[in-house]
Amino acid sequence: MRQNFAFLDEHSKKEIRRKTLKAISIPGYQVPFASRELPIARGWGTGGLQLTLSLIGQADILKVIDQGSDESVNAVNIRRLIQDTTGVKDTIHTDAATLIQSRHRIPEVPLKPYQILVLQVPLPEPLRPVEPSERITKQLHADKEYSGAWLRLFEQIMRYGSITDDADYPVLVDGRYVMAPSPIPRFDNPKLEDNDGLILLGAGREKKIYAVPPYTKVASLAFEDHPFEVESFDDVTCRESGLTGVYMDELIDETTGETYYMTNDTSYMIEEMNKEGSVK
Amino acid sequence: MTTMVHETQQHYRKLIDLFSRPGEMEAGTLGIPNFTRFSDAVLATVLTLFDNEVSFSTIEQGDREEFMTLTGAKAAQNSEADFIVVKESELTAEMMETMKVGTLASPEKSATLIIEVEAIGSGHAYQLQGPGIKAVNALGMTLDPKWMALRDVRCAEFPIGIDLILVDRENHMTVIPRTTTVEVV
Repeated sequence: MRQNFAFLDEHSKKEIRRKTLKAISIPGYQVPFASRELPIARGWGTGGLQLTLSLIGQADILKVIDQGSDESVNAVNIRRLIQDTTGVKDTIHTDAATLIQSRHRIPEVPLKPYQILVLQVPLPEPLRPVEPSERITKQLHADKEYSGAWLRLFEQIMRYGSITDDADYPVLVDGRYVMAPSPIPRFDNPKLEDNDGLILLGAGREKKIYAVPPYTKVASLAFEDHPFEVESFDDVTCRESGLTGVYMDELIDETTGETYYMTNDTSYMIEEMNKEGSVK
Repeated sequence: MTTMVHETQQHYRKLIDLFSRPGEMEAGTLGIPNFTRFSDAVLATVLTLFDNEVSFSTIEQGDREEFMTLTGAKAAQNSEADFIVVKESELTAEMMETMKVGTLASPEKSATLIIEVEAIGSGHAYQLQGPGIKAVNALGMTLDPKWMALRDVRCAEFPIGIDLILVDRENHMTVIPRTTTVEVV
């Protein structure tokens, strides 16, 4: 069957495009959009996918990753859908891609100017855990009333002695909007700030698009006596590649029962291992 | 094969780059005949962004009918329009003072002003700072600084404000979103 180029019809793309330009003009603000039906279920990356489909053109080189892996089912399915309807080239190398769609990771290799990173977002509203009503959270954003977001972190400190949010750690964008950065690990939060590339975030089920333009101030929420900290991998080494200082997965060797660590961003690991004189 | 679908996609990507990097310049046209008084880049931008969900205003009847015929967009008053397409010589203070700026709860319900100026790359020297700009971007443009002063008034209370798409006769385009701080040197 013949499909539209990039699956969506032109009216849908135009609407997504207009909303995306607004999102870039208002960093961190969630622009409502008319999320379209797609051949995958809402909540499985449809927000990111709609952004990608509205952006992609024949000259693009596409990379799709799911939690650091180019080869997981979700990444492969999304990549196939995009390629079947556009015929674009794909790559696993972050620096070779013009358009990167990612679930829950910002790649280890820094973005370059004019590169676009699309993040899939399940829950775009950082105030949702403290306020169930959309109408009220919208008003709280309008009033820059973020006590709820701070109080939530404060309560974690009171209860557990430290902030327990690991992924989706809230950030303040350009001093104005508190934003959910999608469930990227805290390790990736500092990469949001002063990035060379454009970061777009899409939530298909919740019908929101938002953006972090290049060179924008992005601060993770923290207190003076409880500063923001990323996950520490200082004393662990990747078993496959010998890499250190990258985001690691903790795994268990099923034969020996031993705990070991492996680099989460697999394409970065392969690139490093293929370099001459690599650690392993 | 290249069709309108691909051409508007390419034009949109230029707009994406320009919105995320205020003050940078790109040239962009679509290969279609232009029966409006505006440059090809203005028409390309209109065809890329307008459809029947959009309202716009422009001064001359002929241009209005052409945009409506090509895109299905609705004509509206300046104070109601999602987009205003105008030449700098036809800009009025009233137009800038009454155009939509959105609300604090819904700042995206603001108008985008597409202004055709004489030249981009020469003229008054502007300095831009803000998100999307590493340090300072220098932008030469013939746009009269008095319009920029009116724009600053409308953009004083972020997040509400207006976004400018500036196009010249040679089809160069640049964008000044509401987040950008503009200084005339």
